[in-house]
Amino acid sequence: MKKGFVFLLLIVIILALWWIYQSSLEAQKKQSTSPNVVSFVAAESQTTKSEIRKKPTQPKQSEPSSEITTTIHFSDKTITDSELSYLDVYRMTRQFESCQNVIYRLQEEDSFDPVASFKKRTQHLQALYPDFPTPTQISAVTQHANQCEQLLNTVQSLDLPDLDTSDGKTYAPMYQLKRRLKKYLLSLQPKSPKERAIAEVLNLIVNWQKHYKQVLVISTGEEETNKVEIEALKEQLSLLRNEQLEFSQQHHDSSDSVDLSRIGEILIEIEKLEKQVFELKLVNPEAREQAIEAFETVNELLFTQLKSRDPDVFYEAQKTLELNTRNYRDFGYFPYKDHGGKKLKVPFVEYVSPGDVIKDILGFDDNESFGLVINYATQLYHCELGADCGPEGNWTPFYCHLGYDNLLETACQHDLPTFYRDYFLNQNQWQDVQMVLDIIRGLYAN
Amino acid sequence: MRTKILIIILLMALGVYLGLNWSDIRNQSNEQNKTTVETNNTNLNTDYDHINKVKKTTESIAANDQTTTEEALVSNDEWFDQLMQQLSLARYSEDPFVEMMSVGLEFETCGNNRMGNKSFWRFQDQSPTPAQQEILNQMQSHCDSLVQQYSILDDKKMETAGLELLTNMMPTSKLGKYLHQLISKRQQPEDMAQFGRNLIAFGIKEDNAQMLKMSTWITGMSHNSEPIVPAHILKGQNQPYINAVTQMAITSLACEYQNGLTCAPTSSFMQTKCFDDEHFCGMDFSQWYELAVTPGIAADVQLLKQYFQSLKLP
Repeated sequence: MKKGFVFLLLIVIILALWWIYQSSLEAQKKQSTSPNVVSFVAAESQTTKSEIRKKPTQPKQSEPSSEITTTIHFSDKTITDSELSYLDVYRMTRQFESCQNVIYRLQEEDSFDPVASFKKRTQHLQALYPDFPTPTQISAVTQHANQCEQLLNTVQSLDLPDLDTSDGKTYAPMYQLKRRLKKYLLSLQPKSPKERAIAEVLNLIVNWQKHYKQVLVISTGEEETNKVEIEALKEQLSLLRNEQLEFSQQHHDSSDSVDLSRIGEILIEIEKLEKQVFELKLVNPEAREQAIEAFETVNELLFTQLKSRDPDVFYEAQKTLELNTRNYRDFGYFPYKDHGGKKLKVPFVEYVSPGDVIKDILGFDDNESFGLVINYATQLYHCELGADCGPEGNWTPFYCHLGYDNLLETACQHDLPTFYRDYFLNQNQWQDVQMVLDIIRGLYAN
Repeated sequence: MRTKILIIILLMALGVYLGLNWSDIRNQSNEQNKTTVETNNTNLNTDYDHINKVKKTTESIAANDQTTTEEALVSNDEWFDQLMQQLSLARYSEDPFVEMMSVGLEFETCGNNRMGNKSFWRFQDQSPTPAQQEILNQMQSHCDSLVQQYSILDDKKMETAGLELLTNMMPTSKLGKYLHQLISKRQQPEDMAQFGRNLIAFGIKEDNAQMLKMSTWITGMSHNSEPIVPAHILKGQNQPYINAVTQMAITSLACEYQNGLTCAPTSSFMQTKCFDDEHFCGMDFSQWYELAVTPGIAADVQLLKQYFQSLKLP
C-alpha cells in the first residue's frame, strides 16, 4: 500500500505538473500587445517569397530555387490521374503530413466536426483564457479541415497502387492511404528540373534508409552461436514478463493488494537477464564495418542534398538525416535519436546528423539549450530557400491551431519570420537564432 | 481546479519525503540509526503546546494502527522526540517546520529510484554508460545516507501522520508561517505566480536551496493570473524558452546555499543532464553552464537573476 501510494503520488505529480505546464503556455498571449498585427485575409496565405525574404534582419546569403514553392495546399479542382504532375502528387504527400490527424478522424468517425474537436483538444486553454480560441483561430481550423477533406477526396479518387501485405502488417486506413500515395509518387515520372530534383532526393532517401537499417541489423548481433543459452534465458524472461503483467493487472484492479516490492524485484531480474542475453549476442566487426562504409557513401550523397537551393529537396534531406519522423515541429534537430539503444549489441553511435554538426560548430553542448535555437534557425533557412512560410505554410499553423500548447493568434496572421521575430522569440533568443542561422548559411549556402 | 492545485502542492511537499518509505532502506537504516541518535533538544525553538498537540495526533494514528494506547503513548513520545532531534540538525532552518519540509524536498531525487535503472525513462531502452552508472551509484549512496540521517522520516507512521503533523506544528520562522498557513487552510494560493515568487524571495532571504528548487516546479503553473516571470522582464511568448531560462536562473541562485547541494552532480538538474548526455556526468551546475549556454540564454538568465534578487518578501 505504502509503496503503491508513493508511486501513484509521483505519477500524479508528474502528470499534473505536465498538464499544468501545458496549460500555462497560453498565458503570455493575453498580456502581450500586438504591434503591427495585420488582419488575416485569405490573400495572405499565398505569401510570396519576396515578402518573406525581406523580414529577417540578417542579409540573405543563399539563392533559392528558381521555382517558387509558395503553397503546399492542393487545388480544389477535380483532377484525373493523367492531369496530375509529379509535383502535384508530391504536394499531396506534403499536405498529407499536416492533414493526417484530420484525415484519420474523417475516416474513423461518422460525423467529424473539426471545430468541436479543436475545442475539445484545447479545453485546458479555454478554461484559463476566456478569449481562446479567437475567431481567427476558429477560421483557420475550419479552413484547414476543408483543405484536408478536399485532399482526402482527391487522393481517394486516384488509382493508387496496393500495398505489399506479405509481411502481415496492418495499418489504419489513414496510414494505408498515406503509404499508397507515397508509393504512387515514387512510381511517377518526374519531368521538370524541380521534379527531377525531388525525385532524386526521394530515391536517395529510400536507399539511405535501406543502408541505415542494414547497419542496425548487423549491429543487433546474431544469436545463432549461443542459441541454446539465449533461448533458455528468453524462456525465463518470458515467465518474468508474464508475472510482471499479472502484477500490473492486479495493481490496476486494486492497488492495495499488490506488493510493489515484488514488481521492483521482477524488473531488476528482467534487467539482469536481458543483460545476459545481450552479452551472448555476437557482432561481426568486419561485416559491421563494411555496412557502415556502404552507408557512408549514400549518407554523403544525402548530406550533399542539404546544399540544394530547392526548399523541398532541403526539407526531405534534412528531415531524413535527422531521423525525425515523429515531430513535425522539431524540424532542425532531434536529440532523441534511436541508434539502437539496448536493442543493438553495438549501438550505431558513429552516426552524425546535420544537427550534430551544427551543435559541434556552435560549441554549446547541451541538447536543451541547442533545441531552443536550432529548430527556429533551420525553419528560417528553409523559408529563405523559398518554402511556404506564410500563415498557412509549413510551420505557423502549428503555433496557430495544430499544436496542443502555446497556440497564439498572431501565428495565424503572420509569416514565420515575422511571427518569430516580432511576437514569439524575445530579443536575446532571436539573436541566438540568427547566430545559428549564419552557421547554417555558411554550411549549406556557400 | 484550485483545490486540485493545492492538493498537488501539498502532495509535492509530503510526497517527496514519503518517497523514502521503502522497507529495504528503512530496515537497514533504522538498525544503523539506533546507535547514532543522540538526545539534544537545546536548539529547538518550538511551541511545546503544539508539540503536545502533535503528539496526540500521532498517538491517535498509532491507536488506529491497532497499537495499544499505553504503548502508543510511550512510543510516540520517543518517536516525536527522535523526529525533533533529527530535525535539530538545522541544515536548512532552525524552524523544525521548515527543516522538515526542506529535508522532505531533498528526498525528491530518491523517491522513485527503487526499481533499478528501469525507473529512469532514459534507461528503459538503453543501459547507462559507466559515467551515468557512477552518478546513479552516487545518488543511491546519497539517498542511503539521508535515510540514515533522518530515519524517523522513514518511519511508517509518517505516511499516515505526516500531513497532519505538519498542520499541527507551530512554525517559528516567517517562511514556516507562510507555508504553514497554506497547508493548514487547505487552500490554493490566491495567486500562483506570486506564490512562486514568494518562494524565490524566501529561498534567497533564508538561504534555502530547497525553496528555490520548489519554485522551479511552480514555474509552469502560474497560469491563473500571470506567469511567474512577468511578461515585461523577458518579453517574447515562447513559453518553453521562458521556462528553461527561468529554471536555469533559479538553479543558479540556489547554488549559493547548502554548499551547492541542488547544483551537485547528483542534483535532479544535473542528473537530467547526465542521463541526456554522459559528457555532463560528474559536472556541477556551474561547470555545465559554462559549456551549455548560448550568449542569449546567458543574458536572459542574468536578467532573471537580477529580477529574482530584487523580489520582496510577502
